[in-house]
Amino acid sequence: MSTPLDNAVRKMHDECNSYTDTVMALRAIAHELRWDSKAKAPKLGTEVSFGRRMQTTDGNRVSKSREVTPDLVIQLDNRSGVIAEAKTALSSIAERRRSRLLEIQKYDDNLKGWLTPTETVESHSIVLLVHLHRDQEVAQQITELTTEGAFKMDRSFAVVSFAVITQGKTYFTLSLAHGSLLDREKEARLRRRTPIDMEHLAGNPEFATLKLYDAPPPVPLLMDLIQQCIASRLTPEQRDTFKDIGYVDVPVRVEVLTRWMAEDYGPRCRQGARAPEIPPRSWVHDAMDRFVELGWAKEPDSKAYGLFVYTYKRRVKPFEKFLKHCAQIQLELEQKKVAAESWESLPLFAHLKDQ
Amino acid sequence: MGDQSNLALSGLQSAEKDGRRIHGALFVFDRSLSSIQTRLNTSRARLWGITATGEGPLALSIKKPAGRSKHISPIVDLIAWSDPELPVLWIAGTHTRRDFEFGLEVLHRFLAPDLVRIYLQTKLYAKSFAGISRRMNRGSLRVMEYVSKGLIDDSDAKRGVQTSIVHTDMAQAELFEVLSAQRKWLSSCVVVTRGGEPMSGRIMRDCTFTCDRNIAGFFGSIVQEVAKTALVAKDFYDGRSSTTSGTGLVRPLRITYARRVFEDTREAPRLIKVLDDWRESAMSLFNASPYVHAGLLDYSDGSTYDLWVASSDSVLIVPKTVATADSISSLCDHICNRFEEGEVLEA
Repeated sequence: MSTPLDNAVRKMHDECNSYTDTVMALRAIAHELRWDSKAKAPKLGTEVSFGRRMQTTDGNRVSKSREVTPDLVIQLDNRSGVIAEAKTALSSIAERRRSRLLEIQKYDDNLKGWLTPTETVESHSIVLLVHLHRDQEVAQQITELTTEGAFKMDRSFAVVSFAVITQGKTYFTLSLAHGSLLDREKEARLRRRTPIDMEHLAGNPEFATLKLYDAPPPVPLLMDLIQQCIASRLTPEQRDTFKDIGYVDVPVRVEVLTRWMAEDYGPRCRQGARAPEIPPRSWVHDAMDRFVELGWAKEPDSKAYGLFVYTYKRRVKPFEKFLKHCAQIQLELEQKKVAAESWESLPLFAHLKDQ
Repeated sequence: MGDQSNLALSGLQSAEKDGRRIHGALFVFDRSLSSIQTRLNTSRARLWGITATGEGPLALSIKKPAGRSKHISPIVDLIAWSDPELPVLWIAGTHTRRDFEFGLEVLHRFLAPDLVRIYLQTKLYAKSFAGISRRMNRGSLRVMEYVSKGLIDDSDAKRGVQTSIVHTDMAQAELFEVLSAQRKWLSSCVVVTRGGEPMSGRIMRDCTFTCDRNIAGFFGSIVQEVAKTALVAKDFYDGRSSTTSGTGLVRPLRITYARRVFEDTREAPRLIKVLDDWRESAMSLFNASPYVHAGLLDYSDGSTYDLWVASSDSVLIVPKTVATADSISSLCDHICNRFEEGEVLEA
């Protein structure tokens, strides 16, 4: 029989898979939209940026003169491109989805930050990536929002769904659920549902190390990347100590670790000043706090904020440990919340609820 | 042949005359012997129980730490020398095989990842043996015994690998035909020369060998050829991580099978179990079904990988920031030897 902790672990594992699938979906749409099927190679001159800081104009309906960071920017040539945003954790309740869908209109603007001399393009398409199990609801809701006048796109806009299917091989499929693209040929392909070989995506050297995008990953996933990142960055002296005594204490500052993580697993492309801060320091700091709770790291001096000492030693099934620890914390938080709500429902004990 | 080699081989020949069996090993090593000397003449090496004397060949003495098997000698003596022509470090000794393996394990661990151990998949054995045969002026290379592995072919049995030993007398090329027909892979084999300069010995998959007769001939004609194959394999494994590829991009590789291995739903869990046993490593299993996605961390040198099984006939290995040739070679061999041998190819 499953315990509440087992269920929480399973839920957290699903969240990790969902995050990984979303990263794969971004890789898949990037691959598909710049793929030249005749040449059987990426179209020459195309550029892909997973996350790019861009500027909106005064005329933006949602976010005037602000910085926005789409999950994916594909520069097809000097005149056109595609902006894609992944929304995978969409609620099943339409009202809760509404604001997240309306938000995408911020990309329907003459955005500045493209890889052209003027940093602008004549036209671009906007793609909303959703999981297959939500695509019809989202498509329907977009139609309704459009009818009521709350949603309006002047540029080509498409809802593209993704799913993983296995039939001998595992494929990542992309299909057009709503709208259109500037590139009619690609639009037609997506209407027919495009399968992309998962191995091809996983092994594509250009994208293979991309693990993080512009949304915070579940903490166990980040912890796993951090422990691998630290392992790869040990100095020869630290490695010798590990070999000599079976462990080594590795002092690491969060800002340094954040930089390493960005180099190893963040979006890599020739972005310069427009590079997004992925991961931000706060994600890494939060994950390091979890390592401290687990006893894998220490904060040696509370005044030296952001300095941790990570104990590098051989661990068995680290990801399972991260899942279990984070699920336990999640469960405790939920139980506290339920308990607090119970107190509130009993007026006689209401004065005790904060104790 | 260089002075170091000559000195080492004359010493080994004397030991052979005294009736001792010679065990040897080759590691790909592209630094100078003096760099090893420097590392072995430190207090840290002494803590590990390693002492090194001489300038070339090096006389190495490895002390057994407390708690190790009582079947290992208290001190294992080895000699090491660098090849005059190839970036290879040779190590040899006359203790028992168990002692020799213990000594190698300590040295490899201490000097890793600079000492690269290469494993011979069956195709690499075949390539080496074909090279040896081509170079023989007279006579032929025969296989007298081989140890092979294959899948247990019984639908009632638990899926797994079985080992078999065959005593035979066949031409080297015939061995590979037999193994291919039986879908088996080679673990070790005893070879002899017939009709030419007599020599014999066993060659193991991990590039170690035991010479039974004529160490000078065995070394010069047989294991030198194995070393050349090992160097090609090392080049294949080198420069695959994002920090060593030279382009900042990783260079994945693939183990491809001639049949649809993973159509059998018992095989992916078996592979996961095999991966879990891979040397000093940790596996993070993200997805087990319908496709496999795992992260691997090799603690011995900090190499990291993503591993995917997303098709029925291959395993995709994607190196990450660091992935040494020693680690990749070990990982590929672990899968090929413990799960099923496939062909290791560029992805």
